[in-house]
Amino acid sequence: MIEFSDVSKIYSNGVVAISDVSLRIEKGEFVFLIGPSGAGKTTLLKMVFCDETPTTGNVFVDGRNISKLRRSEIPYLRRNVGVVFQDFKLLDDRDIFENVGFALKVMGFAPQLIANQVNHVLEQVGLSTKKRMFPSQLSGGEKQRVCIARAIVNNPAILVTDEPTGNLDPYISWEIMKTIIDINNKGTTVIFATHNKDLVDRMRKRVLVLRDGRLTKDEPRGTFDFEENVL
Amino acid sequence: MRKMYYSLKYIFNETFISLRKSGMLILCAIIIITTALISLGLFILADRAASAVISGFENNLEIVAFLEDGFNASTLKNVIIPNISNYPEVASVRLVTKEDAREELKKEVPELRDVFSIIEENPLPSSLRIKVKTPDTLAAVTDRMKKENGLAIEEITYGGENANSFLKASQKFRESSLFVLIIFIIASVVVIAATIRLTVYSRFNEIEIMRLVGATDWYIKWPYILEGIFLGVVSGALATLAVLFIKNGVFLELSKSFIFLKNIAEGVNIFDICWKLILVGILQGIIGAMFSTASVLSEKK
Repeated sequence: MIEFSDVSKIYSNGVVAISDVSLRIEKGEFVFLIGPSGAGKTTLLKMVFCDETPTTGNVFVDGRNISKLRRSEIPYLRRNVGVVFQDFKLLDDRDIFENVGFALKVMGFAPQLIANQVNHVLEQVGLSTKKRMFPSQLSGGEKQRVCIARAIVNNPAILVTDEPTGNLDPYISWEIMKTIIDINNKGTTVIFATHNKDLVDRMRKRVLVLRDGRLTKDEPRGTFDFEENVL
Repeated sequence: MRKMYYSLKYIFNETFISLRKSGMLILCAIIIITTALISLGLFILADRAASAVISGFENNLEIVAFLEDGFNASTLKNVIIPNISNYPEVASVRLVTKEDAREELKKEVPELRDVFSIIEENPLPSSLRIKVKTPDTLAAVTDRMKKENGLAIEEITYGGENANSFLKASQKFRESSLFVLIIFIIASVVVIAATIRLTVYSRFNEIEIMRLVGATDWYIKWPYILEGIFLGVVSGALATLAVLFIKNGVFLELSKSFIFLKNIAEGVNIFDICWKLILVGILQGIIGAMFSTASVLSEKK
């Protein structure tokens, strides 16, 4: 489903973000992506939703080589990849319902269909009673759940989350984790970049470790000990 | 089809929101674009005025070959006039006798009637009046007439000197005003681009999210292009009103003193100027919007 083949990414300023990474993530898999800050996690995630392209090597998403996609094809790939950010990226002047429905509106869905789908995902993330509130009226955890709802509202095959629990307390982080596990259980492939040791150690899912742009560990039921088990 | 309808609804809605949010910016842009378009409208009016004057000159341009008294009338009628008429550049040749000349002068200057009744001999010479098809052949026809016909010509005159200087002056005017106009239009495009760019940046977060949830570049661009078109249409309409006012007020007033302006003031079709101004405004809007959105979107894939 997602395949990196000898991928390197060197930015125009000479920074090597990813170096010779090869990996494969199957459909429906849950993968933790861990590593110190600046290890290349975000760059790797960006390649999955085609916000970056590799300098060398190939990245295949849903069988399509992202380097060979035309600019006009990229939006259609992104409709199949939901993205959750640490900083939420919500529209402050729109309420929760509108924020979540925004993705469907952009795709030209009918208002009734948008309403049904938005209500459904808001229920899924436990925010159905707050749909007319604005982002400024929500807590960090709630904002993150809005972000998750927006990412999954059009049933994408892949969910990419970039440190979604970064600013949240342990209890809320665990709630977010449970929401994402639920989504994964319904068949969505999840790549979860995090610094949260507790979550990784409790879940015992596949763990990919990046250090200085290199994939240094790939364990099927791994833990957060990325400094010890260097490949 | 339904998706397209909802997308169009969204695009128009977003355009309206954007216009409402950036009221002062929009107002500034409209003022500047309107100024540029008024310049364009005045340029068109001035061009029409110059063309009308030139056309008036062209219609009245003729070579006047004054004949010495005692010319051979038979040779003139049977040989020389047909010969000159055959020049490809010549439109018509007319013989004006001394008597004809006197009657013409009496008509043109009625005050001279009394003078002619006093003097016994008609002092006016006979002449050939030759009209050419295009004014730039005046000199060549004059030269050829002098060389070929062996006429007893006293003097050949034509309005070419005046016409040429007017043509040169109007050409210079057109060139310099066109230059100023181009500067104005470029400035308008830059202002539109800057205005829309500010709007785009104020909604950068939204554009970023749109990209990430799979909006196409055109879907993102359309509200801003419509904003540009709106700026163009409003500015074009305002400029048309201003030009209409200038044409009806200033030109009509001036035409009381300058007869040639009367035709311009009455003859120019305002709708002809209107659609040109609105079209230029719309094009400016589209180009400005394309520049501003392209630069923002090109920063991201």
